[in-house]
Amino acid sequence: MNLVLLLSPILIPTVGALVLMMLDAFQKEDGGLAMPTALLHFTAAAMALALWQRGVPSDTSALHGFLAIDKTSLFLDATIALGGGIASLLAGGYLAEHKLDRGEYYPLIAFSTAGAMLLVSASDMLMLFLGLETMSLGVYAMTGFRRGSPRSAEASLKYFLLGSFAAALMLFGSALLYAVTGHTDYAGIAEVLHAAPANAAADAAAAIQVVTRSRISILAMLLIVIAMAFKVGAVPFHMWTPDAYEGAPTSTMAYMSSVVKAAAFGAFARVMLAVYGDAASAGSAAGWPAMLAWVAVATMTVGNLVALTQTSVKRMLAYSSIAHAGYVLLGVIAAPREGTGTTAYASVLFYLLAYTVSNMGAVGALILAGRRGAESVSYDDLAGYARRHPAAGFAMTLFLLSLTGVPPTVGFFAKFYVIRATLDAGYTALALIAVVNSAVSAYYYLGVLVKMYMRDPAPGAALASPMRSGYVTVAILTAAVFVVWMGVMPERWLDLAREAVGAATAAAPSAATAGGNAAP
Amino acid sequence: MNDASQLSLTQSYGPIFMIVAFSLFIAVTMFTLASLLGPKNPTPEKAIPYECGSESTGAAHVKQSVKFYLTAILFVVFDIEAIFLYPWAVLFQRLGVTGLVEMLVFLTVLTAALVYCWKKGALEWQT
Amino acid sequence: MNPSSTQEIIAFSLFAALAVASALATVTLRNPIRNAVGLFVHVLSLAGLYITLAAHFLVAVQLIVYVGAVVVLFVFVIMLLGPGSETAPDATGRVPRVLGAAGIASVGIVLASTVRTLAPPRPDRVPEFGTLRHVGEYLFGPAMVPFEVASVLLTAGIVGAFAVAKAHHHKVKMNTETNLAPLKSDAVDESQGDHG
Repeated sequence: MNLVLLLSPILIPTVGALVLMMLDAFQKEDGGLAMPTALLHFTAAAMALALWQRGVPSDTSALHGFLAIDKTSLFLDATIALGGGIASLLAGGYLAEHKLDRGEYYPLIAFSTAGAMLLVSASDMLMLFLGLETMSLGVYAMTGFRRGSPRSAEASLKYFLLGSFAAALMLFGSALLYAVTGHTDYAGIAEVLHAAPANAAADAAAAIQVVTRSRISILAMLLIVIAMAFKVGAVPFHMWTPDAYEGAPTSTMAYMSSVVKAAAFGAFARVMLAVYGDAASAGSAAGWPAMLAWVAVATMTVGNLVALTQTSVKRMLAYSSIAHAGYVLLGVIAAPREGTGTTAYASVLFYLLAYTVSNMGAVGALILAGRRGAESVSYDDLAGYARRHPAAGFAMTLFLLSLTGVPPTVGFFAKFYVIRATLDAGYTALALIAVVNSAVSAYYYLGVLVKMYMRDPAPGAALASPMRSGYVTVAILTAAVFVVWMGVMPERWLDLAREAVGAATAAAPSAATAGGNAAP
Repeated sequence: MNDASQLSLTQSYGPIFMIVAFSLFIAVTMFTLASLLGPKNPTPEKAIPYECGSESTGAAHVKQSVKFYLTAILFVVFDIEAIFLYPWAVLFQRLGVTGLVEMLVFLTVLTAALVYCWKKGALEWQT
Repeated sequence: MNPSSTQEIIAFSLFAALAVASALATVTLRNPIRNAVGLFVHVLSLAGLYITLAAHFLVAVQLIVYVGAVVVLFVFVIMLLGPGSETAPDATGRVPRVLGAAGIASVGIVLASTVRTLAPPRPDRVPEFGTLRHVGEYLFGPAMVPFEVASVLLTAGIVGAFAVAKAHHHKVKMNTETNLAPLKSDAVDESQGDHG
């Protein structure tokens, strides 16, 4: 029973997916599954919060170290479930409008959510892989859901091939770690990797062992970083992102760009901090934060610069999602720093939640603007849209302002906390680059607003008008509530995130302290 | 390796290797002998691929329907499921109720997948 | 760690050479069916390598799942692509090729040079290591969570494959886009596929 309670946030979408499968298989007509799927997700989010309130059971021995159910994972579970719920609502509107409403979509999204939750809770390489694959399989299929569209098929294939490649790299990295440590769980790996080099100095053979071990562990780390960079779409492993996002049904794009990203970042931060959180790998100038700093700079810059040149809003959102991955990386880079690290880690969690709701909302507003046969994708499609449809235009405006990082919205605080954490960790140049990038991004986000409010549509062009869908409206309202709520009281939400990571570091101090001892 | 209590490589797998080697030997020998000893006087008719005596039409490779793919995927998945049953069956007595419950959960999930395919018509050939 | 016996070394060298050669054949040959055969030999020789590691259960899994099912799936997919699926000569320029080869070689050198000096901290090798019994005790004991997750993964895979590959739907009213090209060619194939 303890096990069921511990796993309840994950069990809800898993069992729910099976029920949805049965509903889909036995119902007479397609459709109508969006609401149960969304409710399922929101229940899972509520369950995660309830478990948080009740206190995580301290006896986790039934998990045998495969999963870490702590406040960090519960926070991310809630983020994922919230995002998944909004995405299911968006799917309910989008798929029906565009005659794609086949029932398979909903079990798939529930399976992906379960996989994403497993991914952020994984504390063992085996579970990391299983979670990653469970999450990805569903998303691959949802990407290729628009059958008969070569674009969608290409998107799905690209995503599938590169995703599998990334998974293979990660598996290779895990295998190397197992080879040198004999463990697959993070704690065990960290223990062996950072175990007392003191007596090694005395014994030449043992010293060679230590060198070998650290060399292979660095190679393994590179492989894992590359795999995760693929998943979050960081430059230079972002090539698949724009095509996959653009070809995918828009509701899938919303899911991929927020939920999958949040899960991948959650798992990434956990594995890096737990396995490579020691002072030697994370502290020095040659450690992984320094390497990731270059990746972050490239990710932000390339994402923003290419987003500038887009004519399609959907593609612009795809590139901007790359740029946002760069901002989140800033927090990950600052996270292993002694003292300020916890706040940096908390800022990552805060950013992931903030980006999930803002991005879901923005994509939702874009979905709302597209009727059957007239999907609005380009800037020109939206000309004059907000003047004709003030409410729908306002929704789009709110979320784009949040993505830009304009003060009253949550997007501002998300960027602010991440950049502050970067400064606290002493990466001044990095913080500066992030600020400049953020300013650049305003150009293309505000470009949409300019089109919507100040331009007239070209004569004879199809006028974008909002589709009528209760699902999409509810989804946008839910996202808007969070964007405003978190924007009005950001400190409270940051405190929650801080509590989330504080608990994690208190529960598993072994990696950090062992690393501290190992430092020369 | 603790070899004292374990059969060595030759003892446990030797017969298998021998069968493999023997069958390889027979296959290679027969082909070699056939190509060395057989009389060869090719004519254009003989060079045509044999197709039940009728004239061959179309390409040698035939495009298969995508439905084979789904069947093949199902086969792989249920093959993996079957693999997990072996160790469970061997340990059935020792695992007791816990093992039974574990396997029931596992099988329930995959049975759901089977029912799903069945109801959705993935197992119907004439679609 | 006891020194390996001669026969183990012979078996290892044989299977390792076969594995490398067949892997090369898999990626270099142009005819997809030959690639599949290369893969077949490769997974078979991996099973051989598992024998030298005394991973008996893994050998059975390898033979049943990979040799028996996965390679068959590959062949199905190749047949699905039909004629003319032979790959064109690789248009990759010399520079990327050389860089790629150099990259692979450097990773290989790093691995080889380090693995040589490595005495891995092996988990205690019990006599029944790698047997059904041993694997089962781990699988149904501590590794229960990943075991159950595997069933979820497989089910998600089935639903995903169904969503992507199942072009027909008996609730037909839905999709206007279901008339895909592969299905059209399907009809043609069946009309001519009977002789032989």
